[in-house]
Amino acid sequence: MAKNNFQDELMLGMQQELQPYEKKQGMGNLVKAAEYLHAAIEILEEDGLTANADQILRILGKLATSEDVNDVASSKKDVDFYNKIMRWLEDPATPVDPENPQPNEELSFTSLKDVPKEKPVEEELQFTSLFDEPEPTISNEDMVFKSIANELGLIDSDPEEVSDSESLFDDKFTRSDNSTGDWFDDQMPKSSPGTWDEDLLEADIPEDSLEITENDLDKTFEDSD
Amino acid sequence: MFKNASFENEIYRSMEKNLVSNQVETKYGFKRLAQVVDYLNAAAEIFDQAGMTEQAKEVTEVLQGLAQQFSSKTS
Repeated sequence: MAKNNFQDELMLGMQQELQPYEKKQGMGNLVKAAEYLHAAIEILEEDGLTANADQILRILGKLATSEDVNDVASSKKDVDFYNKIMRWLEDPATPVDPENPQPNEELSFTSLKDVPKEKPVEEELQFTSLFDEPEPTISNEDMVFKSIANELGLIDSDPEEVSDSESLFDDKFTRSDNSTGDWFDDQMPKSSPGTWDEDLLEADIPEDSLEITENDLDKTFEDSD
Repeated sequence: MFKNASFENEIYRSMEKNLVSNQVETKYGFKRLAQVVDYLNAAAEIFDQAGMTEQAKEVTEVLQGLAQQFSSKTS
């Protein structure tokens, strides 16, 4: 066996072994690469270089959609994470977890308003109106209390005449034919109607009775008549 | 120990250097740009190592574009 051949074979073998190892290591650092790209995008956007930022963003998008990422994933958690990102890239508006929606996510619901309603059960309720009932007729027996008073002789005349308060008032205060029209005149004695004031004026009053003497000063109210 | 003249000159030079670098930084933002270039370069290396040559090429294209933009700005 030639020495050169042996060396070449060894070299090729080592290269074949090393290449997948490097690849695996490089794939493991993909998360790091994504972080670097993200940081670069932030800086470029702050400086106003949006065109370059968009270019890098497109590379990141391709990285997320490439199948190689699933090969790199070392655990099931990573696979789930990448699947979530894939779903989000397809439709960013849909919630990642429908049972736990996050802000800025959209949820759709079907309206219950459009659900066809069931046919209503055909039932009828009947009511009879109270207004149409005939009024109760009053018999003559219910009015007996009117006639009993007359039968017992409690009321001599027609009750309507007795109970007339207006007529009673008129009987009491009706003026006589001799009335002068003045109530005080009517109260005075009727012997000399209309002259009692004249009599008083013409009456003789002795002057002695009007004088007050010294003897009268000793008198008290008890002594007087 | 130190010659007065050379000491003054040294301070003068360093101050001038600082001022110019500050002016350039505020005008062009080279430090931030250098950071971006470093990040992109690191990402491209990783892609290259992982055998993702297509992505590595695209990143290097972005780097080229940035270099062209700033060379036209500064010139």
